[in-house]
Amino acid sequence: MTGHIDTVTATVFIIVLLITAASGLLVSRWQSRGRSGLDEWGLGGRQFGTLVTWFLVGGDFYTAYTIIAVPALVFAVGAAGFFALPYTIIVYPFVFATMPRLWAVSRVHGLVTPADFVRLRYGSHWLASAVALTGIVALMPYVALQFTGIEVVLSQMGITGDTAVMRMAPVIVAFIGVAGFTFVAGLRAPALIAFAKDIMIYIVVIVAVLALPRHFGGYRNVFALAAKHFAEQRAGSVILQPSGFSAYATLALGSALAAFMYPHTVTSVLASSSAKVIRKNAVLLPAYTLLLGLVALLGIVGAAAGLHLQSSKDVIPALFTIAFPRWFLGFAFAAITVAALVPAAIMSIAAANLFTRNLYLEYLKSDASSRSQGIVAKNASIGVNICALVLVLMLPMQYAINLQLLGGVLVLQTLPAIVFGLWKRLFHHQALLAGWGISLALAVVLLMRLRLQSSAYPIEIGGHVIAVYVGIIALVANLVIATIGTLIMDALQVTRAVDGTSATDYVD
Amino acid sequence: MNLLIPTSGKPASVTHNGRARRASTAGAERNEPRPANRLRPWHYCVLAMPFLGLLWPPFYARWTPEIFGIPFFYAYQFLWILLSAGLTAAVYRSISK
Repeated sequence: MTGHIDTVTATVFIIVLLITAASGLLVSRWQSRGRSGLDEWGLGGRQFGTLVTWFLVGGDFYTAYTIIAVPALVFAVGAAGFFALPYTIIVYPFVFATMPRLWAVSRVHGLVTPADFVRLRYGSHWLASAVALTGIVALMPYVALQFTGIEVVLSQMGITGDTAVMRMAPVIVAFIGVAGFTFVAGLRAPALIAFAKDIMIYIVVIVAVLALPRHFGGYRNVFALAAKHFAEQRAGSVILQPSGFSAYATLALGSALAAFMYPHTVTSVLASSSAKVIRKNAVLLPAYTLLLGLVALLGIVGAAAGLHLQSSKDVIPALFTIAFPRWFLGFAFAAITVAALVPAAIMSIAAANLFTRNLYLEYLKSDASSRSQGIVAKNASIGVNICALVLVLMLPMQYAINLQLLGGVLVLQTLPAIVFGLWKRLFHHQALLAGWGISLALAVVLLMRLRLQSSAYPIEIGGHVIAVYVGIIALVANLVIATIGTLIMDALQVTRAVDGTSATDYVD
Repeated sequence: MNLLIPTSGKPASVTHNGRARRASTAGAERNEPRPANRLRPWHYCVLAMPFLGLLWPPFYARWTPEIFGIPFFYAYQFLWILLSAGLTAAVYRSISK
């Protein structure tokens, strides 16, 4: 496969990419009415309706990396990799309960990032900086991973090279594209390109799901063949085994709780025009979960096909190559590439917003106008993209995957400050800071002991050894410390800073 | 220090981006949150149901009964996509009246 570039596939690939990018840039001036400032660049003017928000959240939540990595995991381990489905089901009731409150308070006070909220609610710039830095650190490898998605597609198309620079040349071009359109158009560009991205991905996945099982005699047969494959491999299973129950459930729970602690998902929530839009989307977004479930099933199809791959990450491109005519393969690969560019842009905007609001504004220039904040954020987004590029070029792909795993665990530790604060100022800010710091250290130690090869750490409870997602272990420690710390701080009468919000700010 | 922190405990009526929403009408609303759009305890219970249905794998990690040739493990979780969206929609309707 490698070394040979199919001209039909490559031509369709390039044409679809160019059309998408050009149309996205052309219409991104839509409704901006020449306004400028951080609200405009970093949150699209806070005026996205139900449809745009649906595509935007879908666009940054279901990324190219998801499309490559979820089936890859299912292909490698079977049912245990399927936790992505319960994860993306339970996340929406959680969004329904929490995010309208965050939106409402952000609207009243003009907040742009989750750290802004923590700053206002707890009055502690240390706690807000902790939340902001955690967000930025978690986002970097996530941006970088989007480009490994592109790399996988390109290598399947035969675009390889003898040197790293040659292999990476198309990735660098993609980076320049992302950095450029993010700088110029802010959140509007990915919001609009997300339409094209998601429609393309839906078409590709539906065609794949309909076309592929016929090669193996229908779905009933696919599961039987996959069971045989896992048995021969002596690894993985079609049905989840009891030894995998605890890891499955805690990974689903922890990932769901972490998903909307990521600054980029919060960005697309805050960009909506009303809390009602967010609630409607919590009802409508599970359509993407269906899509993800079908993508995950392709991992089972790959196992049924008995594919022998160098890396399980190649399972989707390999299956597409089997099932699709050459022109449609070009279309599918372009869809995955766009599915990398859209979230990469949103993530770099979110990280730039954090830098501007919670570091620049906090420590460097506290009287910056919205307009100059917008300019700082634009430049910061370039910096974010360059850092991600360096990460991709310098580190082997596996490092980026490990760092992303770590990032998810870390970002989950901002939940006590963000989510609990949406209801009551239950915790003392010093206690939250202590909980954050200690849980972060604990998470890093546990993941190091697992050599970053797994995210489920075996712990002993009542004589049984069960594997629990490190993010959940650290979150429990975090909450325990925050609770005990609050009791101590309040007993010592350490003053709490002024709460900048009032109860009515949280109701829309 | 930072404009984010108002000097009093009252919400800032003028913010970074110059929005002055609620500046004049806030007084009447401030003490009495509007009852619409507020989640009641039973709403939270309904929203918690997908968590209960999905986070206890022993309940559904089985091959049979197959549904349309799909092992129960997969079919059950796919069904929860619809069920969860339906429950969320019910809460949405309930608070939007």
